[in-house]
Amino acid sequence: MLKQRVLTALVLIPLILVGLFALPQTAWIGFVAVILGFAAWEWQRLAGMGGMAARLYPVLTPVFFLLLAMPGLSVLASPFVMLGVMLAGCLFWGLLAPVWLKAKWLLARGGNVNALLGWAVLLPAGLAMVVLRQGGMGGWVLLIVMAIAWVADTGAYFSGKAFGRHKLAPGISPGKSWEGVFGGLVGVGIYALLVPKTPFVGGDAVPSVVWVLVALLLTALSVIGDLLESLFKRQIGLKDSSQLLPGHGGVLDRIDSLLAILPVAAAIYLSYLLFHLVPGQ
Amino acid sequence: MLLTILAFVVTLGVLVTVHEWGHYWVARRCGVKVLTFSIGFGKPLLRWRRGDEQWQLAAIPLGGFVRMLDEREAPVSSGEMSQAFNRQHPLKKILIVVAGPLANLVLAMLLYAGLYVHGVDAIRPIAGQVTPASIADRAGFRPGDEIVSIADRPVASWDEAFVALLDVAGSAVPARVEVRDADARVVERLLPLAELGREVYEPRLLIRLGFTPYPLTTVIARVEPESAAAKAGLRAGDAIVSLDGQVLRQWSSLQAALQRGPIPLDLVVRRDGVERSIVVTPAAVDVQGHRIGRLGLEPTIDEQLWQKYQVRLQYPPVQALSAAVDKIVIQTRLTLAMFGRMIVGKASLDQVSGPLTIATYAGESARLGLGNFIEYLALISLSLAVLNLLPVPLLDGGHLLYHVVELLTGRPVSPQVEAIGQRIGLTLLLALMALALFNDIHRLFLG
Repeated sequence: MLKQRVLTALVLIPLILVGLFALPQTAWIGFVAVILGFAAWEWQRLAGMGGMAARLYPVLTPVFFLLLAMPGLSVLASPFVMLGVMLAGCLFWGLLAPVWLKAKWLLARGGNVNALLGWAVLLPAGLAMVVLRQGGMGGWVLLIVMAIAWVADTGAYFSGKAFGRHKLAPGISPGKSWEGVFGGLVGVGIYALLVPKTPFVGGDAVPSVVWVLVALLLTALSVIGDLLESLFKRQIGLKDSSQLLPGHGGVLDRIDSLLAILPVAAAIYLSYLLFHLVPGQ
Repeated sequence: MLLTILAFVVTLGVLVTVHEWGHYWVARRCGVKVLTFSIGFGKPLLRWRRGDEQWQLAAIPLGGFVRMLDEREAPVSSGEMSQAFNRQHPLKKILIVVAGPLANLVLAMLLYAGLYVHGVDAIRPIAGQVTPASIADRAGFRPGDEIVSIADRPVASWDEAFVALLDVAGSAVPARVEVRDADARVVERLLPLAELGREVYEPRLLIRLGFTPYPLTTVIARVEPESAAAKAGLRAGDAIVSLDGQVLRQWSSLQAALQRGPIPLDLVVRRDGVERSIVVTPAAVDVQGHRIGRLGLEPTIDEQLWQKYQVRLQYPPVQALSAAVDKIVIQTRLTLAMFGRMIVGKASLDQVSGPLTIATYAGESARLGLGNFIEYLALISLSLAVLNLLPVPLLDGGHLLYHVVELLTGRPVSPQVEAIGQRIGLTLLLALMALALFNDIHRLFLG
């Protein structure tokens, strides 16, 4: 099992690095579309979709994404429209997701309407992976943002193991503790102080306090993303979203916290660029 | 005339041979038996045998073909069945079909790379003019600014700047541009490329951003006879003082006004020390699908500055190859975007050219020197590759489409469907050829 996990990682990590740093932007958009295709396949199973809609969903989702993301095709050519999409993602993860975790609505009851919910989850994150990679050092920007989720996970794991006493959400994910969350926050706080800011356009002009606050907000969101996916899996009695990544479970298992972090990070970055750095466009 | 014919024959000869040789080479590697390798269509002029194969030069030099063993064309003896094209796995068929355009692509890349190693004349990325109120102007760019890097990618010429800009065009995130300003200080400016909107793949990108490479003055160098400007009484040597009541500091302001459409302009010009006011209504022209105004004026260039802007760039081999790939990617995108605009009716169809225009340009570029001719050859080779890959039956792209369908469904496309596709393709191609020939004749003999 561990061997499989390591082997999969040895394939995935170089693949992601090549995607982030070696591909031209259009090829990267195609790369993201493929990831979304796999994620959509897992989503239609998780959400109890059926019939033609379920079979087409893994193909329609990347096509829809490409129409939105490709420069020259996209109706989202205006950065303000793009910001609007990201803000919609913020609404979902900041408001709807916490309420959902509290109320524990049964996902499968939505049936094929869940296609729309799946897009609300997948498309803003996919578009954020495109927006954050724009500009000359965009590969670094995206890597730095994604690493927040990984740092938070690692911090939570060790701190939870050492001090974990108070359960965070026993009904959803019994392994998680409040001590783990705090450990993640501390880890990300330190990370935000140390990480280089130059890859972000206008990043050096932002004070450290703001960096730390934004990173802590994203950490909190990563927990919400994690929990929401756990809830959906628990509702239909699955441990992993699929076996697409041997040793790691499914694609959604890998990207659950990123789905929440990315649109919010992109919304903050775009707002800063559009309203503070280059105003009056 | 002799040079034109020679250049045309060399162009077509090289490109057709390379294309067919690509098909031929891969077919042989895939174990398919080749019957005929022909440069040119129609009646064979010269033929010779190489083993089992017949090689020939034929009368009509506008293409060529590789005829392979195929049960659909002639009965095949059972012993040779495994060498027949139609018996191959669809992946092999796809490889053979794609090899032709790919060979043209590789040729274009090698020609460009060779050119870059040998050295190309280029223009330093200095803003000769920055159009007032343009994106570049609002981002803080001034005439005399030399661009050092765009989105963290160093640039040494306007060509490279164009490549770098297209790479980030359409981004919601503004591009960081490093600039050496007129006082030789290096500063960073933010260029908000999202304002360009959706149509970013077009050659006028620099003008739309507000950059003009030429250090233009506001003095008229030449007035086209019969043009709107000539009819309004403008003459060479006139210095334009103001436009619509505003002092004209840069020629690009006038260009910007024309980009807005054929709207009447209120000019004041100084001639022999006397200022006079002239109202001129520009003619309307379609450029790349946009309706803009045209006066028929050429401004004087500040020769001293212009000399300083010229540079000769030589690339080491590896960089030359990567620059060649960039060039090819961009040309392909521009070509496809152009096609797209023609199909939706946003670009004029008189830009389609045929063999006569190709011949004329081949001759002209050959007259300008070997470098220009090689660049021209690369461009035509690339267009041939792109055109051939369009999914139109009869072209390589059409065959590719059939074989991809076969790969997905597991059985060959039915002969009926193929026949209908063939007819549609033939109609499309004949219409395109007629249009091209009509445009050629119109352009060369009547226009």
